[in-house]
Amino acid sequence: MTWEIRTFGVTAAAIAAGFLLALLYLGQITGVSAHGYEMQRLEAHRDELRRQSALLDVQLAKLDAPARIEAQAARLGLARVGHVRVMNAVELAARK
Amino acid sequence: MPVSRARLRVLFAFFAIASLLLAGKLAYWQIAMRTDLLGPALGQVRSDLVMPATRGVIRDRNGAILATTVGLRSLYAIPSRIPDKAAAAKALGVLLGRDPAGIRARLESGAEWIFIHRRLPESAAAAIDKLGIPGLGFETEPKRMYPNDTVAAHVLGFVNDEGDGQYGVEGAHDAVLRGIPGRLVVERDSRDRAVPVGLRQALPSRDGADLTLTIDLVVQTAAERELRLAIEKEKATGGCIVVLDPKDGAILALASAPSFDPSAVAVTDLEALRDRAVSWTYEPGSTMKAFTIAAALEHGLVTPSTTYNDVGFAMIGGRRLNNALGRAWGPTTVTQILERSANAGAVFVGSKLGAERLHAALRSFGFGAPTGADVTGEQPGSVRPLAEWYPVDVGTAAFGQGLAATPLQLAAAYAALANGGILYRPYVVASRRDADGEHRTAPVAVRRVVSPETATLMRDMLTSTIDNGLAKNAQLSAFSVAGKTGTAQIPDKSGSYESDEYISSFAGFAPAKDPAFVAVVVLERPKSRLLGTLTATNAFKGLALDALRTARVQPDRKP
Repeated sequence: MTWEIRTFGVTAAAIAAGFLLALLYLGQITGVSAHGYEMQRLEAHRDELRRQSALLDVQLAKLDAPARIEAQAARLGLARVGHVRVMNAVELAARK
Repeated sequence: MPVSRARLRVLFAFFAIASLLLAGKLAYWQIAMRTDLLGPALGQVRSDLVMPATRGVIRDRNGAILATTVGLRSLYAIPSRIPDKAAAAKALGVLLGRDPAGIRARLESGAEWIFIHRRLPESAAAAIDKLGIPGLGFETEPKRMYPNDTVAAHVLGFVNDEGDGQYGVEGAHDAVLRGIPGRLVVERDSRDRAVPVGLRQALPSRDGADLTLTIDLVVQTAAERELRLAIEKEKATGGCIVVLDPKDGAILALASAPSFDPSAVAVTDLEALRDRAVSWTYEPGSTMKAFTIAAALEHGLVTPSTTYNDVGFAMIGGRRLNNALGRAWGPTTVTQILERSANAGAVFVGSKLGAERLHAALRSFGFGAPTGADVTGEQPGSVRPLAEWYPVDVGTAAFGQGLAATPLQLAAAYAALANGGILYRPYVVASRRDADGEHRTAPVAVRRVVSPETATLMRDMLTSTIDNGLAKNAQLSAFSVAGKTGTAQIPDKSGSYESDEYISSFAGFAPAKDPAFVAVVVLERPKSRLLGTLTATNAFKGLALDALRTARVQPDRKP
């Protein structure tokens, strides 16, 4: 094998190795970028779900509001209870 | 054909010089002009954003949301990207309930970027999103929301357009609720996304603390309902209801009228912002007789059965102080002074106490100084210095005239009688939750004002006031009630009293033996004049039924 061929071979191998390394680096960078964008998308999705959850909490609180329930009851013609009988747990247990 | 060496050298020299020139130019831009170029270049891709902190949630004692911050979508437009502005305006007008012509005028105003509608209801935002009109977009903006509308408005206060808490808990605890904003510096790509492998400096925001109040939403709602009904019935100019837990001074409800909507403060009358429970002082009238008698009992000057002969008036300091309607009751015990609300009897007891001890007792019960409650705008009321008292002041102060108190002061003082004699500082924030965990508010016992024995006697006497006295309509079918009515005149600017205008009130607690709550109801200028106390006691009764039911208190009497 002549000197020129050996030199050519080494140079070609070095170029190929450099190319592969550059390709590997680019692949990694592209992967990081892609995963970064995916992370951002998921973060935005998470934030939107949190926002929707907060809106549902507010809606729930509105529906649970005693004033709203009282108004609904009045609209349905329900009257307030004048006296509520309370069962004494101790007395009931004693009877048993 | 052989290449001339001279030509090769010329070619080499040309490329060498060209390379040197390019390298020089490159070095000039990269090194010498680096600073000048870097700024504008980074400015194009770098964004420096303030990351707002989320304002803390305010809840009632059972966890119900009273105030919270939610991101709502605001609709913006880039008019140059909208292909058919007229059609877009028409479609938006229908969904937003606005005049399409106005929307179209804005789209055709020549602006590059405009808000069409800020903080849209979610349903409207979703419907607009479905239209898919090019050039329209959404930006999320925080909005403070109050799910119970106007309920507890004075307790909560509001948040203004700049995000600052005003009045109520929002104002008093703004620093802990608002949190600390963060900062995010990132490089952005052409689609305005953060470049994952680029510059990224983040200082995270710290959200505001969540507050849990002592307020019970059910009791608060009941208090506001009863206050509204009483004011409507009496056509009163205003009023308030304070409900306390006598065991530790926790404020269970605090209603004030006129009221306001914390979500629409811009259209609110300024007078409505005033919390009458803490920032309004009035002459409490006969509700103060309980403290005069408690002080005399404490000093051993009278007993519940000590008797005097009521002739319808009392003379003190050369002045004649009359009973209501000038009625003479004849032989009257100290217990009956409360039952009959006899001014002459209060003067009799006040005279036994003397100015010094009566003044000291009033101050000890907390009158003439702010309670120190964690609310904004609290007034101290007024008990004039002893040195300024005339002899007649012993008589008038004994039945609650010539001094001024806030409804909250009166409630705190009645709570002391209800709990066995300890004056507690009222408070409204039960706990604060932040990144470090939960911090509970410890109740503050200010001082003992009367002995447990005196407090027990007072509870019995005030119970008799409801069972046998003028305030019978405050009775509950299955619970004992202790309390006292009050009718006070309104001082005018001349130093006299307005004719035929009154402030009617009722202060009481239930069940009398082991009180679950203390409530004070005050009505300003009721149209039924002296009968305004009947409406006040009815309001107490309506409130008591809900408060006792919510607290699951066992009845202490047979219905």
